Amino acid sequence: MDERKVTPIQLAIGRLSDLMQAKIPEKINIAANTEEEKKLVKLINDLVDFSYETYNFILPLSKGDLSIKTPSTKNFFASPFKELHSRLQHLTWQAEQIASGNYNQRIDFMGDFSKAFNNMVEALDKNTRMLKEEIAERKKAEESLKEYSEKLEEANLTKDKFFSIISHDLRSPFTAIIGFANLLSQEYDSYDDYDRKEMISNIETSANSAFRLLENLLEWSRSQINGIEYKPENIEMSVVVVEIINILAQQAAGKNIKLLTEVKYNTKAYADPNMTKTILRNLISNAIKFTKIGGTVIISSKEIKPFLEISVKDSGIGIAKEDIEKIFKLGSTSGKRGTAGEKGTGLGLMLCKEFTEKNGGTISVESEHDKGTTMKFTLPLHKSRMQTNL
Amino acid sequence: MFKEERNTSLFQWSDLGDINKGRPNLGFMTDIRVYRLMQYTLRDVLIKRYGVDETNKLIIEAGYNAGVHFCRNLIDVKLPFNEFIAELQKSLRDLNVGILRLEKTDDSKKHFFISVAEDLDCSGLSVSDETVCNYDEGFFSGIMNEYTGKNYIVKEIDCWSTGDRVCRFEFKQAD
Repeated sequence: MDERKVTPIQLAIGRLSDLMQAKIPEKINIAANTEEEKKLVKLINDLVDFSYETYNFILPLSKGDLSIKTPSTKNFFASPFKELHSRLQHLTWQAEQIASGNYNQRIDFMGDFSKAFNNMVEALDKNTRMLKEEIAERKKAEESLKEYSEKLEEANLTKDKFFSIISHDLRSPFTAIIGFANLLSQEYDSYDDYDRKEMISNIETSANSAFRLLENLLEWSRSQINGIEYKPENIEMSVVVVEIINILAQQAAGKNIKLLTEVKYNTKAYADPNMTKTILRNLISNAIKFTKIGGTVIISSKEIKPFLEISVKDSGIGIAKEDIEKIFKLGSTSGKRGTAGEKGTGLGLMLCKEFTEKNGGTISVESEHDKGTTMKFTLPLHKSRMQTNL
Repeated sequence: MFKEERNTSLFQWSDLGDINKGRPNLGFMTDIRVYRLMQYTLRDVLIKRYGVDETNKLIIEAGYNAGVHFCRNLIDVKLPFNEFIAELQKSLRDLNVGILRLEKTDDSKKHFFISVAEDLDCSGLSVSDETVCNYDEGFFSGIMNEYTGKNYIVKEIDCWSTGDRVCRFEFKQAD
């Protein structure tokens, strides 16, 4: 149609008709004669502009392109789509937040979609929490397994050391006993009284050493298989200390070592008496062993509520700094000989630690090289809830 | 206290008073029309006295102060950006100010757009050629300044009163 021969009104009707039939309209490009015609042409051309602008906005939006530029603020047709565009952009941001683990995001538009979306977020949240719990539980189980494996390894190591002690340390005194006994039995007449006495004394020392070792081994092996019953009671510590001093008096006298107790009468503790005696016997015996001839070993006590602390202080050779941490482990000091060449296994100190802890106390050591050592252990003063549970 | 002469802002959060004590029956909420009644009558007398441009500046400045104190007292400024926006969104929703949506942002957060639906200031106004949410412009600017310590210029680009269904604001960090 030749548009120059029609009026603006006819063209306006044509453009509106195009729009209604979903055809892409064009602007009116003819001169208007009257003011009304000019207004009409402007309105129709604005409408055409808005239609294009809206169409060009909605088309990419319908395909999910949110980077599209939004139409001008005066475009009434586009305004609901601009709101949709805004919501979809925010939805994108929310999805990003959810992806980064923020499950508090919820949406509130598009009816069933929002319901499904929010259900999905809730399910994701729930599943993630369950997964996290499962991972935490698995991690815990792995840690327990690792801990168990380490304990097993340690037990295995202890077993190896145990056999090493039996095969080596127990063998040595018996070798000496058998050797001297053979000499006395077969060549008794070729020795004088002094040599014979010396040999008998060596046999006695070796037998005592083997006996002490056997005693410790027996107690330790019983404790390992829970064979030692923990029977705490109120004990008078001064009496127990004197009893042990009497047992070890001969060992001390052999090195001219003074055994002194400062534990006063009426010093009480609530502990297993047999375990307490084993601890004291080992600590005092060790103190004698590592104290030079003519030295002193002092046993004292003080209350550090709710515990009684017992100290065994010697004026001996002390413990090297690097050895202090490992003295309570089996075999760690087995090579260390006393000042008179006495042998040790480290089993005694390990027993001391085990028995002290079984009584709810702790054991510690303070030592300075060449100046002496103080071994301290604590026992409960009274029966406590903790001990009831032991 | 409230009527002191001043050259700098003396407003503090405690000026809002103890609402629980003062309004045991009526509580925190009021009709939105009352809020608008105050804003538009105030705008009316300000324009009459100082003109349109000066009034816009005054309303933006008041909004800015409000934003600073709002952020300082109600939002956790230690939160990372996305969590901060989520908390701001929740606060504005809980206080019936509007439904805030972050549209898009660049990685540096120096330039981004937000929209506010059902805005306190304009939703439901008759359509004109003017964006009217100047108070919001200042409010968001104050919030961002308090949060980042940097100046943000916030401009409303779409408004209910210009024919849109949501208000859109462009945030730009000033150099």
